[in-house]
This record gives sequence, C-alpha cells and structure tokens, in this order.
Amino acid sequence: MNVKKEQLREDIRTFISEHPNSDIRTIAEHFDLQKHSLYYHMKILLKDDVISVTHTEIVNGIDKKYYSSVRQTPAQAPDRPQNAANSGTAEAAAVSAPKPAAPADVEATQPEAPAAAPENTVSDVKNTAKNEDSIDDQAATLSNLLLNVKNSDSAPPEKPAESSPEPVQTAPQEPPAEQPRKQQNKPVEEASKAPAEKPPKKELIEPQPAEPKAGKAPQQTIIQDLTKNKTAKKKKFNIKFNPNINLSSLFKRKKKKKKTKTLSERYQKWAAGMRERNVFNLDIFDTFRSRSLLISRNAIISFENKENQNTFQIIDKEQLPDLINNKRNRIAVIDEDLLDNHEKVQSPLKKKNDQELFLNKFITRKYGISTNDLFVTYEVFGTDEKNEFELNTIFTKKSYIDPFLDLLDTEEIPANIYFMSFAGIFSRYNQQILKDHNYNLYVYAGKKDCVVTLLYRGKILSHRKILISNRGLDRKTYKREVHNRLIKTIDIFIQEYAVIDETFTALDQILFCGPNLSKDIVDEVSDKFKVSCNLIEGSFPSSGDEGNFNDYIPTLKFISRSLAKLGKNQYVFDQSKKKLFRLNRIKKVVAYASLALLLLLSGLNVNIYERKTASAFVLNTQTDAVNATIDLIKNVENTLQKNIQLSHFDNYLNNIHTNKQNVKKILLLMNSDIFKHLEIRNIRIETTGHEEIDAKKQKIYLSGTINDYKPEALLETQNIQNALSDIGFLTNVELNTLNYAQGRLPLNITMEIGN
Amino acid sequence: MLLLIINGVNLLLLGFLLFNYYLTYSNTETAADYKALNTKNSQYLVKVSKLLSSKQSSFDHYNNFVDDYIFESPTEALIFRETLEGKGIDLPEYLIKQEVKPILDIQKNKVHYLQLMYRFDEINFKDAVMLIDYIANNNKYDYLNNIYIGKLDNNLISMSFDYSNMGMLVN
Repeated sequence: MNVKKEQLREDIRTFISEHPNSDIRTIAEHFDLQKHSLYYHMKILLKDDVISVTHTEIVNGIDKKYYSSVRQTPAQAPDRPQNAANSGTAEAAAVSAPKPAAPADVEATQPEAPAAAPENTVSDVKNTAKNEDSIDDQAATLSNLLLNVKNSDSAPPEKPAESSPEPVQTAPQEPPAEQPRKQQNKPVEEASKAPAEKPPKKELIEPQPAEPKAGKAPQQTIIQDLTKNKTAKKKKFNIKFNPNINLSSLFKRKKKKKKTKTLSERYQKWAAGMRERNVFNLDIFDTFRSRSLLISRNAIISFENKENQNTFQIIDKEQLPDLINNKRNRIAVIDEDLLDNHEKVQSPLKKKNDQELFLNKFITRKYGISTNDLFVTYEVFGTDEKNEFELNTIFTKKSYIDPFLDLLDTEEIPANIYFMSFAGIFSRYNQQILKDHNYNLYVYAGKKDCVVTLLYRGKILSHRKILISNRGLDRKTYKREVHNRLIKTIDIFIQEYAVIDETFTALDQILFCGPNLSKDIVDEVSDKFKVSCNLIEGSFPSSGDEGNFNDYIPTLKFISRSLAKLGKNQYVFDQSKKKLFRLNRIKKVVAYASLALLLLLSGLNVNIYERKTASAFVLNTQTDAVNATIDLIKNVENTLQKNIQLSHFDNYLNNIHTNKQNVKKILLLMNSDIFKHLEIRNIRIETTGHEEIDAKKQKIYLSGTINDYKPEALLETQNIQNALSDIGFLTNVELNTLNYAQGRLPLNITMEIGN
Repeated sequence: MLLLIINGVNLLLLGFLLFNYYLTYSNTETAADYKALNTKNSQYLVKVSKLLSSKQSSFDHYNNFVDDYIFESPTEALIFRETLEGKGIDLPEYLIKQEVKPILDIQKNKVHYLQLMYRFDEINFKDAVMLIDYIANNNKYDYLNNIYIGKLDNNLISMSFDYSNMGMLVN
C-alpha cells in the first residue's frame, strides 16, 4: 500500500517536472484519479519541497494552485523522515509516518491523573452552604471524594498512563511546567490503560527518545497541536476541497422524481418546513441566515442551518474573517478536534451564580483547569430528592479555541460566534428531533476520534471522547483502531449507568454518524450489544478516504437539523453567551408579541373604523334629519308669522273700510228721530291714527241742547240714551247733562264705534 | 430597528384605535341626542303646521290694497280735489299734517301713509254727506279722522277733517 503511494507520488513529481504549471485537475485527469485523493500526496510533496506552488488564482473564492517541480538532490528525499522525526513535532511525525494510523497505535493518558479518571460520575453534595467558602469547600470535598473513591484504582496524577482504567480520552489538561517540551509533542492518545489492552507500536509513531512519563506525552501533544503549534494548525486548515460541491442540486433532483402531492401533504410539508425554519420557535440562536461551521480535520465546511440546510460549502480560511465580521451572521462552530469533558454533580445550590461558582471550583479542583481558561456550560435537572439539583455540565479549555482564533487572527472570540460540542448537538437532536423517551447512545466516528454520548431525552448521562490518532485515518484503519475501544466504552457506559440508575436495563437504540463511519462498525456494535443500531441520517459516508468532503455530508445534515432545533442553548461553550441568547429570545418574544399586537390592533382598527364610519353616517343622517326638521319648522314659522302679520294688516284694512261706513252711519244718525228734539251744536269724531294698526276706533263727541221743559228734557235725554244703547255698533254711550236754564237742557254725549 | 418601527406603528394604531373609539362613542351619543331632538322637533312641527293651517285665509283686503298707490301730498291733494270737483264739491286749501312716510313692511312691500287737513267754513249738509259717502264707498283704504262738524244757520255747517290715505308709494 505504502509502496504504491510512494510510487504514485514519484509519478506525480515526474509528471509535474515534465508539465510545469499544472493544476490539480490536470494531474488528476492524467492519473485518472479524483482530485481530492491527490491532495494528500500534493501536501507531502510540497512539504518535502519536491514541488512548489508557482502561482495561485482565485476561482469562486477558492485558491486554484499551479504546481511545478523543484530541483533537488536525490539524497534529500530519503533524509526527510529522519529530519522530521528529529524535529520532535507531532505534525512532522504524522507526515513522515508511513501509515496514517500509526499515531493511534500508541495510547496515552491525560497529563494529570484526575482527567484520566472515570468520568460521568454523579456526586452528591448535601451541604446547603451558599456562600463562596462553602461552595469552595463543597467543590473541594466533592472533588477529593471523587478522586479518592472513583479513581481508587487509578494511578496518581503524576502517572496516569500506568493506572488509568480505560482507554478513553477525557478532559485535557495543561502540561506540568517541569515536563519536557518534547513530551508535549507526542501524538494524540486517549486516556488510561489502553496500552494494557493493545501494545503500542512505538516504532510507528514516535522516533523520539524514551521518556519516563511517556503516558502523559501524547495527551500534551493534543494541546500542543491545538494551541501552540499555530503554524501547523494553519496548514491543516489550508487543505481545501472542491468548493463547487453543492448538495442542494442533488436534493433537487430527488424532489423532482417525487409524484404530485396532495393538498394535505403539501400543507404538512409546508408546516414541517416552517418548523424546520424555526419561524415559530422562540428558543433558537437566530432566526434566519444563521450559518454554521464544521471545522473538520481537513477543511472548514460552512452550511446554512436555517434557510438552506442542504447547501454545504468549503470555506477558505481567507474567507473566514469576512464571514465572521458580518455581524448578521450568527455562527455556530463545531470543531471536530475540540476536546470536551462531561461531569454531573448533585448540589443543593439553587442560585445560578452559586451553581456557576461551584462548578468552576469543582472543575478547577478536579481537573486543574484554571478558571480563566475554563469554558463551561451546564444544565440543571431535578433529582428524586427534594432541594437537590443535578448540574449536568460540559466543559473544555479556552486554549482549544485558539486554533480557530488564529484563523481569525484575533485573541477574543467574536460576539456572534459560539462553539458547540458534539455532546450538545446529540442532546439537541435527541430532545428536539428524535423526541423519544428512551436511553439512546450516540456515536460520532470522526476522522481521528470517536465521540460516545449516552442520552436520556436531552439529558447527557455519559459522554466520552476517544482519541485514536492525531491525524486523520482512512476508514479501514479507523475501524480497526476504534473497534475494541468503542465496544469497551459502550460496555462501561451500560455498566456504570446500571449502577447509578436501577431502572436502566439496556440501551434502546444506538445512533451513528461521522465521516469515518462504516457498516462494519455498526454491524459489530449491533452484534455485540443486540441493540437496534441506526444511522442518524440514513446513509454511510461515501468514500472513506481522508480529505473527501462527501464523507461529512450525512454528519453535516444531522448537525444542520440539530442546530435548526437549537433550544435553550444548553452545552454552549461560553456561559456569558447565554445572556445574549436569552436577550435574543426575549427580543424575539417581544417581536412576535409586537407583531401579534400589530395584527390585533390592525384588525381592531379596521373594526372600529368601520363602526366609526357607520356611526358617523348615522350621525350625519340624524343631523340632516334634525336640520331638515328645523328648516321646515323655520319655514312654517316664517309662513305662519307672515300670515299672522298679513292677517293683522288685512284685518286693519277691513277696520278702515268698516270705519268709513260707521262715519257715514253716524252722520245719518244725526238726522234720525233720535235727535229730533236735540238741537246739535257740534259733532267731533276722532279716529285712531295710523300708529294703532290693529284697530280703528272712533270716539264721537256730540254737544247740543234740548229745548223743552225740564221734565220733558230729562225724559228726552233718557230716551236718547236708550235709543243709542240699542244701536249695535255704538259702545260706551254716555250722556252728561248740564244745568237746566232758560228752558234749555245742555247735553253732551260721548260714544264709541269700534271692534 | 424593525422592532422599533413595529412598536411605533403599534403606538400609532393604538392612538388611532382610541381616537376612533372615542369618535364612535361620541357619534353614537350625539346621534341618540339628535334623534331625541328630532322627535321633539317633529312634534313641534306638527303643531306649528296645524296652526298655520288654521291661519290660512284669503286676505281679500290686502290683495286689493297692494293695487292702491299713493303719491306725494301735492299730487294726492290734486287727485282728491279733482275727484270731489267732479261731484260738485269744492275743496278748500289743504294743510299737510303728515307727508308721505313708510309706516310698515308687509310682504316686502312698504306701506306709506299721508295725512292732509281740510277745513270748510260753511258747507251744505248735503254736500258734507256726499263727501263722507264718497269716502265710505270709494273702494280705497283712505279715511277721515278728527272730523269736526259745527252747526250754522240755514242748513249750513262748518266742517274740518283730516284726510288720511294709505297705499304703496309710486316713485
């Protein structure tokens, strides 16, 4: 196998020397190989300075490189492995190793014993102390208790490799100050006693001189790889895949083949889409346009976890700052190499601050991770006992984020980024998407590690990360290396949890994902435990070759779905970010409430506006009716007033007419028999003037004498009065007699004519 | 920003809602008041209409009166003298007691009034009766007021009177 590869690299070098300025496509076509399978060899040839990049073009945001041969002496190439080995770096050792799986053959423990101890233990803390000291004591007590009891069969911290009971990688620790630098550069190893199970193949992994504490060295290598050897990390991220791979087109083709759906099916699909897009989910990190990054061993793979879940794209490291600096991008980062740890403790502490303080002290004491370098998040679960809470925590070291920060060329984690562990993603998937109430075990088969997480609903019961190698392995090697450890880890999980929880009898389901997953692994686990084993996304990775982007597609789909259902933000590796998430959630609730209020108010406004319009119309109608009635009344009143005035005037005219006739009658009356014995001297008739328009009254003054004897004269006076009183048109007739003298009786008569 | 806009719109909508609610309430109340008012007005209108019906008449005198015209005192005195001369009565000189003046408005017409004073030192009683008879039957709305009749010998009398005439003025 290696001879063939060496031969292939030699052929490539020969081809490039004959065809300078060849790109990877040309070379792949010449050898009838896929491009991605050549990257590995090109990388080695570049490292060996056999070939060099003559120039670079940017195509679709990705560097397209052209290679030419470098002149070198034939003796240089054979020297390279020796030089690399002498350099003492893990990267060099990995590159120079004839087999990719070589580092996995040596297993190492954590540099400090506590980290190598069995994890996922449940601790009981009965103290109710709430101040800092009590928390400190509680953490110390708990930590010591765990160290003494749970690790009773483990080696002391200084010698974890010799005594650690299982080959499981746990929380990584800082190397002791006195530890030689070279020890830190050993290949990545898992914890504890794997050497006892599988003898290390030292000749394949480490040409370094022997160290008295060899067990620690591989673990420190992880730290060194991730944190200190930045140059090596950057080179790791430089490896690129075909950027033009767009899975959405593949999915579209599948959709076209589907038959026409019914209306209900379309509705269900629409509703599912709305749910997937979290339109109505308030518990999410972001609503739309949120992107996620999977930092795999060989590439940074970006995917939209909301709008277009199935579009995955390789991101060049030069693109990353622009992606991050766009504040609208909320980016979830899942680093395949991120080392995390899991711990469950029981505590009576209720207050969040107390819980956080307690966990910080607990982890600091047990694992030696300083508070400043601790990334911790936890979720609180209830227990059977009252006033007792289970603090279920995932934690890691901030220094493991450094390679990512190196990519961004920054020291601070941007505010729009947060890191997710696979345990957290499994928890989300199990709770939000799978939604069953069983004990499920999740296995992620990575390129160089294996993550195993036991879950009940969203609660992490056990979690371990098994490191196989410090570099990516092909599927066959990976399967060979991971098999026994995975079986043993699952077995330990079952045994441990059966002790903790008596109701637990067996696993209900084991779910698999990961780029290095193979059918053999699934079958072997299934045969061993007689448990239903399923793939999370229903398909195995395609090639299994290192550097093949397609291997990540099922995993990416699974992560994408999980992140789309990200709720409550558990197991996020930055506690302070939670405040931001809660604020976003409140903002979203407020936004939805505001929107609902907007709709409600709009509806009410339409309704009230209609009512107002109707009431205004009724009011106008009533007003018009009132005005019309008033106008009518005014007209009638005016007409009536005119009629009355006219009637008065007409009556006045009639009175004038009557008055004229009365004057004539009076004049004729003067010649009547009534006054035949009265000698009239004068008559005065006064008529009311024009001022008195309503009536025409006349006053008549008549004076005269009756020439007769006094008795006859008086009698005549009486006769005149009687006669005048009988005349109908005369009123107020008065006769006044003066003194009778000389046979004459003076007489004054006044009377009125009028209506 | 969008949230601020939405909340701003919400505030506007809330204000608009309250404003419209107040208007609706106010309109409803006012409409009810107007309805009650209209009911009372209608009742009043019925009564006024009945009253008007009762006041309807032919107004014959007024209809005749609007065709009567008066003139200024010289013309009026001339007409009066000429008329009586035709009946054999010679009128003495007149005194203007009231020159033509408007006394009231009827149906947008101004009614004018004129008063002339005549004094007969002696007049035959028969002529006096003829004069009064003429005034009484001339179908005009003139009349005599302040008539004074004194008895003289030989069937003669002295008479003075104020002649008043009313009608529309001819300019």
